[in-house]
Amino acid sequence: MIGRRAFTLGLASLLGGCATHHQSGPATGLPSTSKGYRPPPDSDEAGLWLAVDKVEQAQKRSPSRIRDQAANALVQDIICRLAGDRCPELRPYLVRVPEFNATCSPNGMVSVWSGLLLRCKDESQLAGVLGHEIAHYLRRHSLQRMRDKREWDDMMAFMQFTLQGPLAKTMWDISGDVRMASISMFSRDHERESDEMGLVMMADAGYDPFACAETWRQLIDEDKAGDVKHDFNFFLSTHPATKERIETLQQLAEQRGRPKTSPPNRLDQAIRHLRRGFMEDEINQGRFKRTEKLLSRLAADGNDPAGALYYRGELYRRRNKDGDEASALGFYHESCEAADPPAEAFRGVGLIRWRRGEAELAREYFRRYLDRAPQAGDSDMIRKYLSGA
Amino acid sequence: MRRTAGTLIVLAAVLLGGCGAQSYRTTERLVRTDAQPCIMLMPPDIELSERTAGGTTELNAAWTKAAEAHFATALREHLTSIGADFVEYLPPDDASPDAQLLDELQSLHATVGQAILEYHFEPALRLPAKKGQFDWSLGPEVAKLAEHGKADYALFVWLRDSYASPARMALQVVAALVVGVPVSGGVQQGLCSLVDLKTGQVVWFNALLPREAGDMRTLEESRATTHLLLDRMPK
Amino acid sequence: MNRLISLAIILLIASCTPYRLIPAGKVEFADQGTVETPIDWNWRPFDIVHTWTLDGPNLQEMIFHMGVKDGKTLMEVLDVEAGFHPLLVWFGKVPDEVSFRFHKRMTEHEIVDLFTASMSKIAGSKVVSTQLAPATLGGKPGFRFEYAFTGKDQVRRKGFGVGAVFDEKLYLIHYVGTEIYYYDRNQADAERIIQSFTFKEKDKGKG
Repeated sequence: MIGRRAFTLGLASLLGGCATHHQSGPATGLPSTSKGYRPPPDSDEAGLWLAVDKVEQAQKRSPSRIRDQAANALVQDIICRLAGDRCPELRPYLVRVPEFNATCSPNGMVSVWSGLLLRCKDESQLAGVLGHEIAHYLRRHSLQRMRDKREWDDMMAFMQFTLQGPLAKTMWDISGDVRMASISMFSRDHERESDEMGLVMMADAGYDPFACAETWRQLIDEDKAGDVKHDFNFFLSTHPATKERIETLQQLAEQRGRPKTSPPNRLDQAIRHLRRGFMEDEINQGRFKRTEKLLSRLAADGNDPAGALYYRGELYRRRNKDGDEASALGFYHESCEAADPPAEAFRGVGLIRWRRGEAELAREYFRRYLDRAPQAGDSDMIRKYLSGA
Repeated sequence: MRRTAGTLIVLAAVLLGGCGAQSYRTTERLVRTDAQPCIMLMPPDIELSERTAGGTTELNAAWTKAAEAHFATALREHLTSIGADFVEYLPPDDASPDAQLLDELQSLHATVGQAILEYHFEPALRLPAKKGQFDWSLGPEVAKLAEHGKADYALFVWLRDSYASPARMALQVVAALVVGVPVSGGVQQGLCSLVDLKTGQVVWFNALLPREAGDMRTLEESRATTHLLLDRMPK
Repeated sequence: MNRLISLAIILLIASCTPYRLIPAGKVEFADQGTVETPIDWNWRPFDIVHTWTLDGPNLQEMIFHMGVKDGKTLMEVLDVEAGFHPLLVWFGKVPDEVSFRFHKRMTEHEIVDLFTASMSKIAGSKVVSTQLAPATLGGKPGFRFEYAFTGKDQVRRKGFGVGAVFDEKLYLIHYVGTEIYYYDRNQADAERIIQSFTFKEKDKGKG
């Protein structure tokens, strides 16, 4: 921060009209918006809004949009509980992307990714993330970041032509590093602020504030399993050191205490019928270890063990290393035994038995598959196995 | 031309050197029976931005709004001058049964446009089995568009225009003085096409090649840009 | 994410290679097989596959996978593990990524699942198979399937493919086009080409 000020001062006279946003710096640099706020038409903020308005138009008709009524209604309701009288400004879009993320754009478009919905154990966890995003919106963090980045990039552009002499390259490299450090420090301040505001919002709305820290613990578990350090997930990488963040969230939750009445928890009901599709998206990512961790947690959660077990089987079958076939078979069998198993779990058992040459056992499971899914698109193929070819 | 048109900017920049406009068409004349041909104006995709010293383009809402109004005026003048009627495309209700198809036809137009730029505008990449013909179509399902707008043709427009920010202008001066290197300012470029709504045939496709000229912020200059975009349209 | 970006770059570079003419008539795929095409096509090799198109690969395309070997991915670009640094492999510190590979013991379902998972990576959006039934390719027992996806350009695509495992290798030909217009326009041509496929008779003296 200090280093950056010094550079800015040095160039202030040169930059003249462009460096007009010097109040930026602390996360609280811009006033929050008030109800029904619209940016002045000739401002850079209006341009930012127009850009995201266009994104929103595309999002409305996007094939990746989840139109499911129950899921959308729940997210809308949580947003209203959190945002109070600002609720009409916020428009949620559920999007099918298998990553843990949500965003709230400056114009009030809220994107909730399916990977987030799948990973939330309960409604309080989802409310925690949404509260965090709404805080970004109220505090106009995107605008601040855009201005901060512009300021830095403009300055670097001038340095490119004005730095001369033997130390020029060193100076240039150092400024580049300072720029990166400053930009990420800046955004970490934003994350901290949104964490706090988000937790207050969700606790005020009657949710369990301890859920916020729990969400992060789950994510760390997943990342540890995959041996990744915040693998290209911008939601994670720009955030304060996760350990510090968990501690702060935990402390804040302890100050608030558990809610007096049990918090609403309608999440399972609202997304139950979508979870299997989301799990399939996860295994399509081709990340074995993290997906294994996620699916084993989901199976233990008890929301849809049969589905989680089936996809764990799929995950192993696809990897196909030593012993994976046996593991896959085991998970398919467990899935078949659990409540409300996917028809495909029976087919899974059948296919592995078939390729092992255990035709009779395979046929038994193919029959059970067809009993459950007589109209399946692959029924002709299955009937061929049954007919003994 | 919807969101995917964004990628066109890259292609246009990569593939199209030179300046001015480049145009291909299947005919020089609009089909004129007893009445004037009616052209449906698809929502033009226009963006005016400020180019910062750092090189980023930031969308400018006030300029964009002004440019849309100027373009609408200049476009209507042009169509009147060639004796064509026009009607604006009104997006259907989300609940309308045709909404998805009408929307997808516009997306398909962007995809076909990209193929035209890549495989027709760039001679080295032309598809040999096409034997050099300018022959691209959206197919007969465009009849839905004709029915929706009661029109014979659909006109698609995509336009990007940027201007150097004050800081970038300062940078241009500094760079010229200190190292004698030119720093580019704003760039204007555009695409437009005309689709026959009976057959789906793309009858005309025009590219306004990237140039550091033009100013869509004023009506007079917008008329000049519009002229460059449209003067080779079939009449 | 970085894998996806490098895949995108490879696809972009590939898109700058010009197509060459395939005149109507008999077409040979090296020592793997031949087909007859009733019309002219544009041909471009990409990675280890042959691609044909009439109006551009995003409008309609035929893709020929000619002899994918046991343990290999459908295209080389999809083999993420091949890019791992040997030292990382040695220390067991490889990234958490696996590639979907063909195995000679795969059932038809598994091959189609391999196909859709691999195509999803190439298309950048989820590819689903809708139908699967027994069929033949070049006289060998195999399978036929249909699939669909919506591209990043928000245009729906549909496709069908026919495949068979012969001599422990996977042979698969598929055709894909936009749901509006292009798929239908040349679907019958694609069908005839696939029907005409014959394996090259090889001197199989390897015992």
